[in-house]
Amino acid sequence: MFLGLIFERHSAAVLAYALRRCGPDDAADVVSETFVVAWRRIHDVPAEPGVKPWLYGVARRVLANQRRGIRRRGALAERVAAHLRPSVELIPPIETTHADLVVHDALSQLPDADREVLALTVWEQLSPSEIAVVLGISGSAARKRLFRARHRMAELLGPTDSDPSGEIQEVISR
Amino acid sequence: MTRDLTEEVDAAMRAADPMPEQQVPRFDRATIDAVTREISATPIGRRRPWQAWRLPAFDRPALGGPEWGRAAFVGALALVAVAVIGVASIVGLGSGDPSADSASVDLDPPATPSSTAGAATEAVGNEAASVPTTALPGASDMTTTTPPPAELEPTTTQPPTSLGAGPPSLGPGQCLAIEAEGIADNDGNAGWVAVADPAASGGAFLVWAGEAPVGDEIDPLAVVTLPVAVDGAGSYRFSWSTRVPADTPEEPQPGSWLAVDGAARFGPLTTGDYGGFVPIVGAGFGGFGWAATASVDGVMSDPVIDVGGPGLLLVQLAPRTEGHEIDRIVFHDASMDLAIAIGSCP
Repeated sequence: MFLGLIFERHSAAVLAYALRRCGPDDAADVVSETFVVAWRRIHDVPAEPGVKPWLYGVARRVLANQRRGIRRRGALAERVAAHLRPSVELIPPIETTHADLVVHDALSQLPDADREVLALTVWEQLSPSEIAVVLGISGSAARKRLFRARHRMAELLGPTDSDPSGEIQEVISR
Repeated sequence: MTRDLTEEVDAAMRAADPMPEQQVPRFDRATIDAVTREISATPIGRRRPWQAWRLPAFDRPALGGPEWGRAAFVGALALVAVAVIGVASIVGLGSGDPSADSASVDLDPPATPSSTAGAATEAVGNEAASVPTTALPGASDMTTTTPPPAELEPTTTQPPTSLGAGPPSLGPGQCLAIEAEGIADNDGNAGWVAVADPAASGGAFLVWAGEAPVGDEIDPLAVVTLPVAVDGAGSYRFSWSTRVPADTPEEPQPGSWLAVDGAARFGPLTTGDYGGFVPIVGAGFGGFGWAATASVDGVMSDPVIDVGGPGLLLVQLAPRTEGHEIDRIVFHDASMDLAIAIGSCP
Protein backbone atom coordinates (compact mmCIF):
# COMPACT_ATOMS: atom_id res chain seq x y z
CA MET A 1 0.00 0.00 0.00
CA PHE A 2 1.31 3.43 -0.97
CA LEU A 3 1.02 5.21 2.35
CA GLY A 4 2.39 2.16 4.13
CA LEU A 5 5.42 2.24 1.87
CA ILE A 6 5.94 5.94 2.47
CA PHE A 7 5.67 5.50 6.21
CA GLU A 8 7.97 2.48 6.23
CA ARG A 9 10.62 4.21 4.15
CA HIS A 10 10.54 7.67 5.63
CA SER A 11 9.05 7.63 9.13
CA ALA A 12 12.48 7.22 10.74
CA ALA A 13 13.84 10.18 8.78
CA VAL A 14 10.87 12.35 9.73
CA LEU A 15 11.18 11.26 13.35
CA ALA A 16 14.89 12.11 13.34
CA TYR A 17 14.08 15.48 11.78
CA ALA A 18 11.60 16.16 14.56
CA LEU A 19 13.86 14.88 17.36
CA ARG A 20 16.59 17.24 16.21
CA ARG A 21 14.21 20.14 16.69
CA CYS A 22 11.95 19.22 19.61
CA GLY A 23 11.49 16.77 22.46
CA PRO A 24 10.30 13.16 22.10
CA ASP A 25 6.67 13.88 23.04
CA ASP A 26 6.35 16.63 20.49
CA ALA A 27 8.29 14.57 17.95
CA ALA A 28 5.65 11.84 18.01
CA ASP A 29 3.01 14.48 17.36
CA VAL A 30 5.02 15.97 14.49
CA VAL A 31 5.46 12.58 12.82
CA SER A 32 1.79 11.80 13.28
CA GLU A 33 0.58 15.11 11.89
CA THR A 34 3.03 14.95 8.99
CA PHE A 35 1.77 11.57 7.79
CA VAL A 36 -1.86 12.52 8.29
CA VAL A 37 -1.23 15.51 6.02
CA ALA A 38 0.55 13.21 3.54
CA TRP A 39 -2.52 10.98 3.51
CA ARG A 40 -4.86 13.90 2.96
CA ARG A 41 -2.62 15.19 0.18
CA ILE A 42 -1.68 11.79 -1.18
CA HIS A 43 -2.13 13.02 -4.75
CA ASP A 44 0.35 15.82 -4.14
CA VAL A 45 3.10 13.56 -2.81
CA PRO A 46 5.83 13.58 -5.46
CA ALA A 47 7.53 10.51 -6.87
CA GLU A 48 10.76 9.25 -5.34
CA PRO A 49 13.30 10.61 -4.64
CA GLY A 50 11.21 13.66 -3.86
CA VAL A 51 9.14 12.16 -1.05
CA LYS A 52 11.53 12.80 1.83
CA PRO A 53 12.09 16.53 1.15
CA TRP A 54 8.32 16.93 0.67
CA LEU A 55 7.68 15.28 4.03
CA TYR A 56 10.33 17.46 5.68
CA GLY A 57 8.53 20.49 4.27
CA VAL A 58 5.29 19.36 5.88
CA ALA A 59 7.04 18.52 9.16
CA ARG A 60 8.66 21.95 9.17
CA ARG A 61 5.28 23.66 8.99
CA VAL A 62 3.81 21.37 11.62
CA LEU A 63 6.73 22.25 13.90
CA ALA A 64 6.32 25.96 13.17
CA ASN A 65 2.68 25.78 14.19
CA GLN A 66 3.58 23.80 17.27
CA ARG A 67 6.10 26.46 18.29
CA ARG A 68 3.46 29.12 17.91
CA GLY A 69 1.30 27.21 20.33
CA ILE A 70 -1.18 26.11 17.72
CA ARG A 71 -2.04 22.56 18.69
CA ARG A 72 -5.34 21.81 17.11
CA ARG A 73 -4.73 18.32 15.87
CA GLY A 74 -7.61 16.26 14.66
CA ALA A 75 -8.73 13.03 16.24
CA LEU A 76 -6.91 11.00 13.60
CA ALA A 77 -3.55 12.64 14.35
CA GLU A 78 -4.11 11.99 18.06
CA ARG A 79 -4.79 8.29 17.42
CA VAL A 80 -1.71 7.95 15.23
CA ALA A 81 0.44 9.75 17.80
CA ALA A 82 -0.79 7.31 20.43
CA HIS A 83 0.60 4.45 18.32
CA LEU A 84 3.95 6.20 17.92
CA ARG A 85 4.55 7.42 21.47
CA PRO A 86 5.58 4.08 23.03
CA SER A 87 8.36 3.68 20.46
CA VAL A 88 9.54 7.27 20.80
CA GLU A 89 9.59 7.13 24.59
CA LEU A 90 12.11 4.30 24.42
CA ILE A 91 14.72 6.47 22.78
CA PRO A 92 17.65 6.89 25.18
CA PRO A 93 18.80 10.44 25.85
CA ILE A 94 21.77 11.54 23.79
CA GLU A 95 24.88 12.52 25.72
CA THR A 96 25.78 16.15 25.24
CA THR A 97 29.34 17.37 25.42
CA HIS A 98 30.58 20.88 26.01
CA ALA A 99 31.49 21.10 22.33
CA ASP A 100 27.92 20.17 21.41
CA LEU A 101 26.61 22.93 23.64
CA VAL A 102 28.92 25.47 22.04
CA VAL A 103 27.78 24.46 18.57
CA HIS A 104 24.11 24.54 19.57
CA ASP A 105 24.59 27.90 21.23
CA ALA A 106 26.10 29.22 18.00
CA LEU A 107 23.23 27.71 16.03
CA SER A 108 20.70 29.39 18.27
CA GLN A 109 22.25 32.74 17.41
CA LEU A 110 21.69 32.22 13.70
CA PRO A 111 18.52 33.51 12.05
CA ASP A 112 15.89 30.75 11.65
CA ALA A 113 16.39 30.53 7.90
CA ASP A 114 20.16 30.08 8.23
CA ARG A 115 19.86 27.55 11.02
CA GLU A 116 17.38 25.45 9.08
CA VAL A 117 19.33 25.43 5.84
CA LEU A 118 22.49 24.41 7.68
CA ALA A 119 20.70 21.68 9.63
CA LEU A 120 19.04 20.33 6.50
CA THR A 121 22.42 20.20 4.77
CA VAL A 122 24.45 18.56 7.50
CA TRP A 123 21.98 16.64 9.62
CA GLU A 124 19.40 15.65 7.03
CA GLN A 125 22.07 15.52 4.31
CA LEU A 126 19.92 17.21 1.69
CA SER A 127 21.20 18.85 -1.46
CA PRO A 128 20.39 22.52 -2.16
CA SER A 129 17.71 21.49 -4.65
CA GLU A 130 16.09 19.27 -2.02
CA ILE A 131 16.34 22.06 0.55
CA ALA A 132 14.56 24.28 -1.94
CA VAL A 133 11.63 21.86 -1.87
CA VAL A 134 11.54 21.86 1.93
CA LEU A 135 11.66 25.63 2.25
CA GLY A 136 9.62 26.49 -0.83
CA ILE A 137 12.38 28.56 -2.36
CA SER A 138 14.49 28.25 -5.51
CA GLY A 139 17.62 26.15 -5.68
CA SER A 140 19.79 29.20 -6.18
CA ALA A 141 18.22 30.88 -3.15
CA ALA A 142 18.94 27.73 -1.12
CA ARG A 143 22.57 27.78 -2.22
CA LYS A 144 22.87 31.46 -1.32
CA ARG A 145 21.36 30.88 2.09
CA LEU A 146 23.67 27.93 2.70
CA PHE A 147 26.72 29.98 1.82
CA ARG A 148 25.55 32.77 4.11
CA ALA A 149 24.70 30.35 6.92
CA ARG A 150 28.09 28.62 6.80
CA HIS A 151 29.81 31.98 6.81
CA ARG A 152 27.87 33.20 9.85
CA MET A 153 28.32 29.91 11.65
CA ALA A 154 32.05 30.02 11.03
CA GLU A 155 32.15 33.48 12.57
CA LEU A 156 30.17 32.32 15.59
CA LEU A 157 32.45 29.31 16.05
CA GLY A 158 35.56 31.48 15.97
CA PRO A 159 38.24 29.85 18.12
CA THR A 160 38.92 32.85 20.29
CA ASP A 161 35.39 33.40 21.53
CA SER A 162 33.53 30.12 21.59
CA ASP A 163 36.22 27.48 21.71
CA PRO A 164 38.88 28.79 24.07
CA SER A 165 39.99 25.33 25.00
CA GLY A 166 40.11 24.13 21.41
CA GLU A 167 37.55 21.43 22.18
CA ILE A 168 35.59 21.97 19.00
CA GLN A 169 38.72 21.80 16.93
CA GLU A 170 39.52 18.53 18.63
CA VAL A 171 36.08 17.13 17.77
CA ILE A 172 36.38 18.29 14.19
CA SER A 173 39.80 16.79 13.72
CA ARG A 174 38.79 13.33 14.99
CA MET B 1 34.72 31.14 2.16
CA THR B 2 37.40 28.52 1.74
CA ARG B 3 36.69 24.84 1.36
CA ASP B 4 38.41 24.19 4.71
CA LEU B 5 36.05 26.55 6.47
CA THR B 6 33.05 24.87 4.90
CA GLU B 7 34.30 21.50 6.01
CA GLU B 8 35.02 22.76 9.50
CA VAL B 9 31.54 24.18 9.95
CA ASP B 10 29.96 21.02 8.59
CA ALA B 11 32.18 18.86 10.78
CA ALA B 12 31.26 20.84 13.88
CA MET B 13 27.58 20.50 12.99
CA ARG B 14 27.92 16.76 12.36
CA ALA B 15 29.68 16.28 15.69
CA ALA B 16 26.84 18.09 17.45
CA ASP B 17 24.04 16.24 15.66
CA PRO B 18 21.40 15.70 18.36
CA MET B 19 20.18 12.58 16.58
CA PRO B 20 23.10 10.86 14.84
CA GLU B 21 22.16 8.63 11.95
CA GLN B 22 23.15 5.42 13.72
CA GLN B 23 20.90 6.22 16.67
CA VAL B 24 17.79 7.12 14.71
CA PRO B 25 15.04 4.82 15.97
CA ARG B 26 12.97 2.76 13.56
CA PHE B 27 9.36 1.94 14.16
CA ASP B 28 8.73 -1.77 14.37
CA ARG B 29 6.48 -3.65 11.97
CA ALA B 30 3.53 -3.70 14.36
CA THR B 31 3.65 0.10 14.76
CA ILE B 32 3.98 0.64 11.01
CA ASP B 33 1.00 -1.63 10.35
CA ALA B 34 -1.09 -0.01 13.09
CA VAL B 35 -0.39 3.51 11.81
CA THR B 36 -1.07 2.52 8.21
CA ARG B 37 -4.36 0.89 9.17
CA GLU B 38 -5.38 3.86 11.28
CA ILE B 39 -4.67 6.47 8.63
CA SER B 40 -5.93 4.58 5.63
CA ALA B 41 -9.22 3.89 7.36
CA THR B 42 -9.90 7.61 6.99
CA PRO B 43 -11.25 8.68 3.60
CA ILE B 44 -9.00 10.89 1.55
CA GLY B 45 -9.97 13.72 -0.71
CA ARG B 46 -12.55 15.09 1.72
CA ARG B 47 -12.95 18.78 0.96
CA ARG B 48 -13.23 21.17 3.83
CA PRO B 49 -15.70 24.05 3.71
CA TRP B 50 -12.94 26.64 3.71
CA GLN B 51 -11.08 25.10 0.78
CA ALA B 52 -11.36 27.08 -2.37
CA TRP B 53 -13.42 26.05 -5.34
CA ARG B 54 -11.19 26.86 -8.22
CA LEU B 55 -11.92 29.16 -11.11
CA PRO B 56 -8.96 28.35 -13.33
CA ALA B 57 -9.82 30.61 -16.22
CA PHE B 58 -10.45 33.88 -14.48
CA ASP B 59 -7.02 34.51 -13.09
CA ARG B 60 -4.88 33.28 -15.90
CA PRO B 61 -3.56 35.33 -18.78
CA ALA B 62 -4.13 32.67 -21.41
CA LEU B 63 -7.40 30.84 -21.81
CA GLY B 64 -7.78 27.74 -23.80
CA GLY B 65 -9.32 24.34 -24.23
CA PRO B 66 -11.10 22.65 -21.39
CA GLU B 67 -10.30 25.37 -18.86
CA TRP B 68 -12.04 28.00 -20.92
CA GLY B 69 -14.92 25.61 -21.48
CA ARG B 70 -15.21 25.03 -17.76
CA ALA B 71 -15.09 28.73 -17.00
CA ALA B 72 -17.73 29.42 -19.62
CA PHE B 73 -19.89 26.70 -18.11
CA VAL B 74 -19.44 28.16 -14.63
CA GLY B 75 -20.23 31.65 -15.91
CA ALA B 76 -23.35 30.39 -17.68
CA LEU B 77 -24.48 28.67 -14.49
CA ALA B 78 -23.95 31.88 -12.54
CA LEU B 79 -25.95 33.90 -15.08
CA VAL B 80 -28.79 31.38 -14.93
CA ALA B 81 -28.73 31.60 -11.13
CA VAL B 82 -28.91 35.41 -11.26
CA ALA B 83 -31.77 35.23 -13.77
CA VAL B 84 -33.68 32.81 -11.56
CA ILE B 85 -33.19 35.03 -8.51
CA GLY B 86 -34.34 38.05 -10.52
CA VAL B 87 -37.47 36.32 -11.77
CA ALA B 88 -38.21 35.02 -8.30
CA SER B 89 -37.95 38.49 -6.78
CA ILE B 90 -40.20 39.94 -9.52
CA VAL B 91 -42.93 37.43 -8.83
CA GLY B 92 -42.59 37.99 -5.10
CA LEU B 93 -40.87 34.75 -4.18
CA GLY B 94 -37.68 36.35 -2.96
CA SER B 95 -36.69 36.35 0.68
CA GLY B 96 -36.33 39.48 2.77
CA ASP B 97 -32.64 39.58 1.93
CA PRO B 98 -32.17 38.07 -1.49
CA SER B 99 -28.44 38.67 -1.38
CA ALA B 100 -27.90 36.93 1.90
CA ASP B 101 -26.26 33.88 0.42
CA SER B 102 -24.99 35.29 -2.83
CA ALA B 103 -21.39 35.28 -1.76
CA SER B 104 -21.40 31.61 -0.97
CA VAL B 105 -22.39 30.17 -4.31
CA ASP B 106 -20.46 26.97 -4.89
CA LEU B 107 -18.87 27.42 -8.27
CA ASP B 108 -17.52 23.91 -8.21
CA PRO B 109 -19.77 22.38 -5.63
CA PRO B 110 -18.63 19.50 -3.47
CA ALA B 111 -20.41 16.20 -3.52
CA THR B 112 -23.21 15.56 -1.09
CA PRO B 113 -22.16 13.94 2.16
CA SER B 114 -23.31 10.53 1.03
CA SER B 115 -21.60 10.75 -2.33
CA THR B 116 -18.47 12.15 -0.69
CA ALA B 117 -18.22 9.04 1.42
CA GLY B 118 -18.70 6.90 -1.64
CA ALA B 119 -16.13 8.77 -3.67
CA ALA B 120 -13.69 8.64 -0.81
CA THR B 121 -14.12 4.92 -0.46
CA GLU B 122 -13.56 4.55 -4.16
CA ALA B 123 -10.49 6.76 -3.93
CA VAL B 124 -9.03 4.58 -1.22
CA GLY B 125 -9.61 1.51 -3.27
CA ASN B 126 -8.14 3.02 -6.41
CA GLU B 127 -5.21 4.40 -4.51
CA ALA B 128 -4.30 0.97 -3.26
CA ALA B 129 -4.47 -0.46 -6.74
CA SER B 130 -2.71 2.29 -8.64
CA VAL B 131 0.46 3.14 -6.84
CA PRO B 132 2.60 4.09 -9.85
CA THR B 133 -0.04 6.39 -11.29
CA THR B 134 -0.71 8.05 -7.96
CA ALA B 135 2.97 8.65 -7.40
CA LEU B 136 3.52 10.38 -10.71
CA PRO B 137 3.75 14.17 -10.54
CA GLY B 138 0.67 15.90 -11.86
CA ALA B 139 -1.60 12.92 -11.29
CA SER B 140 -4.07 15.05 -9.35
CA ASP B 141 -7.07 16.24 -11.30
CA MET B 142 -8.05 18.92 -8.80
CA THR B 143 -4.89 20.79 -8.02
CA THR B 144 -3.09 23.02 -10.44
CA THR B 145 0.26 22.80 -8.75
CA THR B 146 2.50 25.70 -9.46
CA PRO B 147 6.18 25.84 -8.59
CA PRO B 148 7.07 27.93 -5.57
CA PRO B 149 8.00 31.53 -6.29
CA ALA B 150 11.62 32.01 -7.13
CA GLU B 151 12.43 33.93 -3.97
CA LEU B 152 10.31 35.09 -1.09
CA GLU B 153 12.00 38.43 -0.96
CA PRO B 154 11.03 41.85 -2.25
CA THR B 155 11.15 42.08 -6.00
CA THR B 156 11.49 44.98 -8.35
CA THR B 157 8.23 44.08 -10.09
CA GLN B 158 5.95 47.05 -10.40
CA PRO B 159 2.44 46.19 -9.29
CA PRO B 160 -0.12 46.81 -12.00
CA THR B 161 -2.50 48.60 -9.65
CA SER B 162 -1.29 51.96 -8.49
CA LEU B 163 -2.86 53.30 -5.35
CA GLY B 164 -1.05 56.59 -5.54
CA ALA B 165 -3.72 58.52 -7.45
CA GLY B 166 -6.28 58.47 -4.66
CA PRO B 167 -8.14 55.59 -3.11
CA PRO B 168 -10.12 53.25 -5.33
CA SER B 169 -13.84 53.69 -4.98
CA LEU B 170 -16.83 51.45 -4.49
CA GLY B 171 -20.51 52.28 -4.56
CA PRO B 172 -23.96 50.73 -4.41
CA GLY B 173 -24.44 48.21 -7.19
CA GLN B 174 -20.72 48.26 -8.00
CA CYS B 175 -17.69 46.10 -7.52
CA LEU B 176 -14.03 46.86 -7.09
CA ALA B 177 -11.08 44.59 -7.86
CA ILE B 178 -7.69 45.23 -6.28
CA GLU B 179 -4.44 43.58 -7.25
CA ALA B 180 -3.23 42.79 -3.76
CA GLU B 181 0.45 43.24 -4.60
CA GLY B 182 -0.25 46.97 -4.99
CA ILE B 183 -0.95 47.19 -1.25
CA ALA B 184 2.70 46.41 -0.53
CA ASP B 185 3.43 50.03 -1.51
CA ASN B 186 1.41 51.18 1.49
CA ASP B 187 3.51 49.17 3.91
CA GLY B 188 6.02 51.32 5.67
CA ASN B 189 7.43 48.34 7.53
CA ALA B 190 8.43 46.43 4.41
CA GLY B 191 7.06 43.21 5.88
CA TRP B 192 4.45 42.80 3.16
CA VAL B 193 6.10 42.26 -0.18
CA ALA B 194 5.04 41.85 -3.78
CA VAL B 195 6.45 38.68 -5.31
CA ALA B 196 6.53 38.19 -9.06
CA ASP B 197 4.74 35.04 -10.20
CA PRO B 198 3.34 34.43 -13.67
CA ALA B 199 0.58 32.27 -12.16
CA ALA B 200 -0.78 35.29 -10.28
CA SER B 201 -3.24 37.75 -11.70
CA GLY B 202 -1.27 40.84 -12.65
CA GLY B 203 1.95 38.84 -12.52
CA ALA B 204 2.53 39.16 -8.76
CA PHE B 205 1.01 38.46 -5.38
CA LEU B 206 1.21 39.90 -1.88
CA VAL B 207 2.68 37.93 0.98
CA TRP B 208 3.91 38.57 4.49
CA ALA B 209 7.68 38.08 4.49
CA GLY B 210 8.44 39.28 7.99
CA GLU B 211 8.67 37.14 11.09
CA ALA B 212 6.27 34.22 11.20
CA PRO B 213 2.80 35.29 12.31
CA VAL B 214 1.72 34.04 15.71
CA GLY B 215 -1.81 32.84 15.21
CA ASP B 216 -4.16 34.72 17.47
CA GLU B 217 -1.88 37.66 18.14
CA ILE B 218 -1.88 40.63 15.82
CA ASP B 219 1.35 42.54 15.53
CA PRO B 220 0.37 46.19 15.09
CA LEU B 221 3.56 46.76 13.14
CA ALA B 222 2.53 44.09 10.64
CA VAL B 223 -0.73 45.79 9.66
CA VAL B 224 -0.94 47.22 6.16
CA THR B 225 -3.83 49.49 5.19
CA LEU B 226 -5.78 49.81 1.96
CA PRO B 227 -8.02 52.89 1.78
CA VAL B 228 -11.26 52.44 -0.16
CA ALA B 229 -13.64 55.33 -0.85
CA VAL B 230 -17.30 54.38 -0.61
CA ASP B 231 -19.85 56.42 -2.54
CA GLY B 232 -22.96 55.43 -0.65
CA ALA B 233 -24.59 53.40 2.06
CA GLY B 234 -24.97 49.72 1.45
CA SER B 235 -24.00 46.22 2.31
CA TYR B 236 -20.87 44.96 0.67
CA ARG B 237 -19.06 41.65 0.50
CA PHE B 238 -15.59 40.66 -0.49
CA SER B 239 -13.61 37.65 -1.58
CA TRP B 240 -10.01 37.09 -2.43
CA SER B 241 -7.90 34.79 -4.52
CA THR B 242 -5.18 33.33 -2.35
CA ARG B 243 -2.77 30.43 -2.28
CA VAL B 244 -0.75 28.43 0.19
CA PRO B 245 1.82 25.73 -0.61
CA ALA B 246 0.21 22.39 -1.43
CA ASP B 247 1.68 20.71 1.63
CA THR B 248 0.37 23.29 4.10
CA PRO B 249 -1.44 21.61 7.00
CA GLU B 250 -5.18 22.21 6.92
CA GLU B 251 -5.09 23.21 10.56
CA PRO B 252 -4.79 25.93 11.46
CA GLN B 253 -6.90 26.98 8.54
CA PRO B 254 -4.73 29.15 6.32
CA GLY B 255 -5.73 32.79 6.14
CA SER B 256 -5.04 36.36 7.19
CA TRP B 257 -6.56 38.92 9.56
CA LEU B 258 -8.79 41.63 8.16
CA ALA B 259 -10.43 44.66 9.73
CA VAL B 260 -12.48 47.39 8.08
CA ASP B 261 -12.21 50.65 9.92
CA GLY B 262 -14.99 53.10 9.10
CA ALA B 263 -17.67 50.50 8.41
CA ALA B 264 -20.87 50.49 10.44
CA ARG B 265 -20.42 46.76 10.76
CA PHE B 266 -17.74 44.32 9.71
CA GLY B 267 -17.88 40.67 10.64
CA PRO B 268 -19.34 37.30 9.87
CA LEU B 269 -22.78 37.43 8.29
CA THR B 270 -24.24 35.14 10.93
CA THR B 271 -22.79 36.67 14.08
CA GLY B 272 -22.68 40.36 13.35
CA ASP B 273 -20.02 42.92 14.12
CA TYR B 274 -16.85 41.43 15.45
CA GLY B 275 -15.40 44.79 16.36
CA GLY B 276 -11.91 44.57 14.97
CA PHE B 277 -9.76 42.07 13.18
CA VAL B 278 -11.54 39.01 11.90
CA PRO B 279 -9.76 35.84 10.79
CA ILE B 280 -10.53 35.35 7.13
CA VAL B 281 -9.74 31.79 6.12
CA GLY B 282 -9.72 29.94 2.84
CA ALA B 283 -7.02 29.43 0.26
CA GLY B 284 -6.13 27.35 -2.72
CA PHE B 285 -3.66 24.63 -1.81
CA GLY B 286 -0.94 24.72 -4.44
CA GLY B 287 -2.83 27.08 -6.76
CA PHE B 288 -4.71 30.33 -6.42
CA GLY B 289 -8.36 29.91 -5.52
CA TRP B 290 -11.22 32.20 -4.55
CA ALA B 291 -12.38 31.79 -0.97
CA ALA B 292 -12.92 34.12 1.95
CA THR B 293 -14.76 32.92 5.00
CA ALA B 294 -14.97 34.70 8.32
CA SER B 295 -14.14 32.26 11.08
CA VAL B 296 -15.07 33.42 14.55
CA ASP B 297 -15.41 31.18 17.58
CA GLY B 298 -15.83 28.13 15.43
CA VAL B 299 -18.59 29.72 13.34
CA MET B 300 -17.80 30.19 9.66
CA SER B 301 -19.80 32.45 7.42
CA ASP B 302 -19.44 35.06 4.73
CA PRO B 303 -17.77 38.30 5.79
CA VAL B 304 -20.04 41.33 5.43
CA ILE B 305 -19.20 45.05 5.34
CA ASP B 306 -22.13 47.37 6.08
CA VAL B 307 -21.57 51.04 5.36
CA GLY B 308 -23.82 53.82 6.66
CA GLY B 309 -22.99 56.44 4.05
CA PRO B 310 -20.29 57.91 1.83
CA GLY B 311 -16.85 57.96 3.36
CA LEU B 312 -13.47 56.34 3.52
CA LEU B 313 -12.97 52.76 4.63
CA LEU B 314 -9.58 51.65 5.86
CA VAL B 315 -9.20 47.98 5.04
CA GLN B 316 -6.49 46.62 7.31
CA LEU B 317 -4.61 43.43 6.68
CA ALA B 318 -2.42 41.50 9.12
CA PRO B 319 -0.62 38.16 8.77
CA ARG B 320 -2.21 35.15 10.46
CA THR B 321 -0.73 31.96 9.00
CA GLU B 322 2.56 31.55 7.24
CA GLY B 323 2.75 31.72 3.46
CA HIS B 324 -0.79 32.98 2.77
CA GLU B 325 -0.28 34.54 -0.65
CA ILE B 326 -2.93 37.07 -1.64
CA ASP B 327 -3.34 37.69 -5.34
CA ARG B 328 -6.52 39.67 -5.94
CA ILE B 329 -9.28 41.12 -3.76
CA VAL B 330 -12.79 41.82 -4.98
CA PHE B 331 -15.28 43.98 -3.08
CA HIS B 332 -18.82 44.02 -4.38
CA ASP B 333 -22.30 45.15 -3.56
CA ALA B 334 -24.11 42.42 -1.68
CA SER B 335 -26.74 42.27 -4.39
CA MET B 336 -24.12 41.30 -6.94
CA ASP B 337 -23.32 37.64 -7.40
CA LEU B 338 -19.80 36.68 -6.38
CA ALA B 339 -19.08 34.86 -9.63
CA ILE B 340 -20.20 37.90 -11.64
CA ALA B 341 -18.05 40.18 -9.51
CA ILE B 342 -15.00 37.96 -9.90
CA GLY B 343 -15.46 37.50 -13.61
CA SER B 344 -16.44 40.99 -14.63
CA CYS B 345 -15.03 43.46 -12.15
CA PRO B 346 -12.32 45.65 -13.66
